[in-house]
Amino acid sequence: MPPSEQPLPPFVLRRNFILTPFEQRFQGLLRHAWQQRSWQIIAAVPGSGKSLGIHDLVTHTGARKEAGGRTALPVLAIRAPKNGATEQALGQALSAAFGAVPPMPWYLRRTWLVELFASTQVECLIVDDAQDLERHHLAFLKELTDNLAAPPYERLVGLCLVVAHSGQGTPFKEVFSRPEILWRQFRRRLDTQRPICTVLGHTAEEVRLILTAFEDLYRSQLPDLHLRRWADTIFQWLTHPILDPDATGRVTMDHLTRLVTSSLLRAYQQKATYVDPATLLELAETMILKRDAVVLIDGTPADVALPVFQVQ
Amino acid sequence: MDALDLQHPAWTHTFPHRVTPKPGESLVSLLLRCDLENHWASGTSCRWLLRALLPKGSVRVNRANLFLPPQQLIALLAQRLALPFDALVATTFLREHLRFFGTMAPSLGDLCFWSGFHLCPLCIQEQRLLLRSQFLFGRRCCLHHQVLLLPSCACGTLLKPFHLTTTPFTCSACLQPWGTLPTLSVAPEELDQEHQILACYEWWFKHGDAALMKTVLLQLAALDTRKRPTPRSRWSSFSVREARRRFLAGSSHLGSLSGLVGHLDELGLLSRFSLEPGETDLIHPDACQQEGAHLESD
Repeated sequence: MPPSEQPLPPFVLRRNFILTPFEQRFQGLLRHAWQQRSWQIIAAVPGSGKSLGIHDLVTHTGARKEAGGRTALPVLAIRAPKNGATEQALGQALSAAFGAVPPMPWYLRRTWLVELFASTQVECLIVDDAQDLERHHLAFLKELTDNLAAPPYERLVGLCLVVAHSGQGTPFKEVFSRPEILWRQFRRRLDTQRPICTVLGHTAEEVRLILTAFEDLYRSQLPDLHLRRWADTIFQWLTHPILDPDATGRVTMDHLTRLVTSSLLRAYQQKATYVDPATLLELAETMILKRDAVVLIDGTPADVALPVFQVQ
Repeated sequence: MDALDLQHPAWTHTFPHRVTPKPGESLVSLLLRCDLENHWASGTSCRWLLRALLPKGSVRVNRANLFLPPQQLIALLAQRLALPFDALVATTFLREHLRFFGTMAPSLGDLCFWSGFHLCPLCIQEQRLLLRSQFLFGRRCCLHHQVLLLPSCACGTLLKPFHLTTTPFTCSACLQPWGTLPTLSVAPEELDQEHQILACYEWWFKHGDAALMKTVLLQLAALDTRKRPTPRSRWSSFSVREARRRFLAGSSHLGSLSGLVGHLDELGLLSRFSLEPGETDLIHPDACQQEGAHLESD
């Protein structure tokens, strides 16, 4: 069989974490809250890479369970419980981050969590998808951190509420504008200089940097890959109002990754060694113009007897 | 027994704080330390493990389960602590049971009896430790600190290993820490006897098996017909002869080794089982008869 007709090995999708400019900004805020033990609300549009950034940060904080009883979890990250869950659900989510925990009544778990936060040296708590937090969740977070700050623990804990945000309005604005003392106390704990931040997506120049990183990642499979020359064009496509409904003028990592990886896959299947602009354009159009198109799945019946299975 | 990082798949299956067995430590001690490290009430981890094994039944902690626990309990605990199964088996008498009976699935009272819960306050104070061997039937004192093992608190309450309303290592009634209980010194002759009993158990755990135990019990039965031994106080609550009778009748429902050690103590023959196997002669039928004659002449 001639080399050109030999079947290709399957395309390998790289799952590497790229410390993009967005991630640098986002993780910078998280690290600031961790180091300063400050409270911050951090917002970014969906698909920016918030969850990946949190995961990457947490796995590099030196969290470990030693066999001799010592456990360290400097940065504890959870996802907010969904569907208006109770404060118990938040307690369960916090408990589960430590590992296997026996069931216990809520009144015990409340105090137990304080002890465990102290004994595992939690320094910063990150709540992802914090837009799903309810009023009683926020009240419980305040109670938990207040108990840790009081004797005998006297431990200040940073808090980052990471919010998927449309860019319109201020996250938690309605909650914090309420007159109750609780919200005034909550508000008072927020960072003085940057209490509420929105982390922006990528500029055209940053897209160029990321495309360079993609080239390096996939060089072994597509040796002549040269994506960065299309950076400006890709930036224009991905800031189209359909993909950027909030008109941020920035590109999210999710859109960029989708466009690049599907183009690379298409090129690889065509046995090309690089991605041509036509492929990029076609996939960008699919993402923009055919975004809501319904794909009909059909097929031709094979000319063989259909398999029949006995029903138990 | 390496440290687990957050990306390790075992992170979510392990207790928040892991503990490792200390040399010679008992399972009850390990579970108590596990509760203490994790800020749980005394007996929480034990009950949780048992509940996982018996999801529908009411969970009562049987003390025999702490001595010769079901293998599944050890396997589950090994998962929760991310430790090798064998490291946790060492806190029980399962390995010895396997050597004797060819199975790790014990029935209640097999091999050796749980003597009742008692502790050395100084071991608790220094290391939070309850040794596995101190629960062997007939044991009464701590050989390291030369004090009596206490079965009750200074307030008069019988000590319990677990009590869900108290913190680990404290009295369930007055909440006094076990490590602060008063100690009682032991007389030298009592210590000698304690050494002999422990050495005898260890001899059997190291060299014994069911066949050898049966042989020796038969020989002791022959001695018994000639001279009735004088029961010593530490064995008085335990029917040594009944255990032996059941063992010889083929029942597995007995504390056979405890019975044997008790009987050897009553006959003053413990020292024969602290030697290496080639050096002891009691297991030989002729030697048994000689021993019988020796006893009759006393």
